[in-house]
Amino acid sequence: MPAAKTAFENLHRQLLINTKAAAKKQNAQDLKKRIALLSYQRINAIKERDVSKTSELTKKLEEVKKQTEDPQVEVDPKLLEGVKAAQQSGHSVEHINDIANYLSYQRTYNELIERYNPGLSMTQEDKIRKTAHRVGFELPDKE
Amino acid sequence: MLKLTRFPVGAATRWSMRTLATEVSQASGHPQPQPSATGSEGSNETLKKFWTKVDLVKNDSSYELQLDNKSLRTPLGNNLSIPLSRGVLAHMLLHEWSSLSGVIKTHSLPLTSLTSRAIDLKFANEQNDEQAITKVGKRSDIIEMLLRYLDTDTLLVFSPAKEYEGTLRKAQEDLYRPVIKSVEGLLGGQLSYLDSDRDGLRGNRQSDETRAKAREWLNALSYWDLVAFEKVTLTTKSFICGVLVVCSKSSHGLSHPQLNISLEEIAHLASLEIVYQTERWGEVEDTHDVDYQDLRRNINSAAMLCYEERA
Repeated sequence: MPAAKTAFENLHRQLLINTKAAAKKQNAQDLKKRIALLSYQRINAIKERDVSKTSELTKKLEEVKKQTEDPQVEVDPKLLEGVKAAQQSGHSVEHINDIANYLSYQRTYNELIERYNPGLSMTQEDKIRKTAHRVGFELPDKE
Repeated sequence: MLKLTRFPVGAATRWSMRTLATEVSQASGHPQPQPSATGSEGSNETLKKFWTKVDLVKNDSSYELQLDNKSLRTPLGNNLSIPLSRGVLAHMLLHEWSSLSGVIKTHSLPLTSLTSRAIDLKFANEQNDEQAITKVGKRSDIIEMLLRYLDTDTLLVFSPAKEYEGTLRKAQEDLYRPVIKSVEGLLGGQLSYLDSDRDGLRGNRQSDETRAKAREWLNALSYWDLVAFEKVTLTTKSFICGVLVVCSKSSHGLSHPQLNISLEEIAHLASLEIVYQTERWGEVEDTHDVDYQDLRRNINSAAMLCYEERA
């Protein structure tokens, strides 16, 4: 059944896009947290005049900063299994296509909303920083 | 047990006739900034991701969605459990939660809000729980509210013959008439329509007999189908579109194969006039493009809710 196969491939592609986007965001956040932690430890080490620890942390920090945020991910196999099971029943080819379309519509909708309302997805901290920046102020540096 | 009080349910949770106007405007799905007590909107509206693992657990009678091994609950505190016959829906819910990241927006979980509404509506009405009913609505009230959409159905209003050199009217005649006819066959009653040339700006009203037939049809729907129907009707402003989606997806519509039209066609029917308007006047950014996606995501999500796997 080529129609069923294309429908399923289409759905798989949509699922993968979403999974990737989520993993990427999550990675970026984790990375940010790790950098913040390492920077903090490094400052403490500088304060304590611990030279070897400082250089070690500096090295680590540079390493972490180099890491890419682009993860290699796959769609949860459980998810594919679940959808495949349904594929065997009734007029499901059409439904698989409808699900794939839903994922695409939903994603595009969110992208558009975000594009037209840039403040929506910003954290409170970002909002404050950008507001200050707008009138020529900078928030004090955390470091 | 995990309980999310500020659970993102958008239009679906607080149903009452008094708030009809705002509910309907929210049903279009656009996030609207809501004033919050603290004044720091954003911190109140959103939810930070506090779990690491999302899982779908299958037991004897249903699927359950779990965050860090704790069952996810609906706004009324019921377990978010999905019957085995709706396995695809369950797996798509899993995907909806597992592809979340960072700050969670209240409008980013359409499938969860629909599913919760179906579960809560069923719970409130079957238990006859007064308090719960004030929150989600009474089945008969919802049905009466939805019946009003049959009077002024998008598919029952025909534009003047001269508009757009007659092209819109022709398209309406070609596309709407067969659909109206088959819905009349399904309900077993005549549908009265508005002809802008003949009737001007008059309101439209279906006969009591047709209303009774339509009510009968709605009464026979399961809670899952009813919530899907409600979503489509509120989005498309069309009772008929609701009928079409339920008939093409739910087991309820199996006996009416002539009503089986694709979701894209349904979306096209509901936005036919917009197609001609944008053709003439151009597409407006932040409006037509958003509405296009919004209409379709709503129709498709409703279709996923009422779809049942047939053994």
